[in-house]
Amino acid sequence: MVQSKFMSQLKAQLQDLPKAEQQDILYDYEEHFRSGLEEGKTEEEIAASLGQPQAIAREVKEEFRGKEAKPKPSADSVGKAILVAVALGFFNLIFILGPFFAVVGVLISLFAASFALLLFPFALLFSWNQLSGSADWLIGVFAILASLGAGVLIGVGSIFITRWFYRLTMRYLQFNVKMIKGRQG
Amino acid sequence: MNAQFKKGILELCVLVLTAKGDKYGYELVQMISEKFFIAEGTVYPLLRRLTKEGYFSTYLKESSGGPPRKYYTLTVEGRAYMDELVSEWNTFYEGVNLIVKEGLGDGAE
Repeated sequence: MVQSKFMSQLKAQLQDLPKAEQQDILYDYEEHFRSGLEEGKTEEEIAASLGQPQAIAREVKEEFRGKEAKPKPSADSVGKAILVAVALGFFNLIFILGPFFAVVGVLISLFAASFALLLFPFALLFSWNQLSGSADWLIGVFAILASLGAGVLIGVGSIFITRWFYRLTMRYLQFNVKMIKGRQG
Repeated sequence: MNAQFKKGILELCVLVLTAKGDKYGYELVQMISEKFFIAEGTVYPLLRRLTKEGYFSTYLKESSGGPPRKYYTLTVEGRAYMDELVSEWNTFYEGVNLIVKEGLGDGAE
């Protein structure tokens, strides 16, 4: 293959690269041909040892894409990130914040209820001497047991719900960050 | 030979060949292809990538009576990267050599 054919084949293979990039690459091979000719080689010899233009183009594109795979944040992607952040902010403010505080409120009241139920038996014990009669005494014991049981159940339940809610919140926050950073984040 | 493997070795070679002085593309290609077979055309994409990654800087210099040639200079980062690759290569080379020796050496040992 002569130089002109090699170069035109290579050029055809590089069409989808930026113009400046193409010219740069073609220049390297022109220089290579020139140096080889100066050494007294023939165009055919030089082209043969360079290898197939298709293979070279494949190599070039591979390196080019490898470079592209880790893009720097461009003005465009920064703008997009800001837009996503603002949109997410509004969405969170309108749709997420209300339910979030509602759930937090419910959780706080559940803990308070559990706390009160656990405290109640002690209050009852302190006022023990005021209780008189066997019926009242029995009712008191049942009340203490019921109160303790309900308090523990609500307390444990609340802890589970809180853990689950915490995880859900974290995941949602991570999702927000990912949305803003873009897919790579 | 495995393409990825060969690429890594070519990378090491061009870095080492520029360690003692700037070289132009054709020179590098010839120095390598004198030693082992390569498709010479694949060296240039490699040089481009190493330049883009900051391991080489380039400049044009007039050749005797021809258009200017592109010279490659090893940058500070390039030198550090080369040292890294060379030590990796040495470890690898010694390991493979040992395996070959043990595998093919006298059974009596």
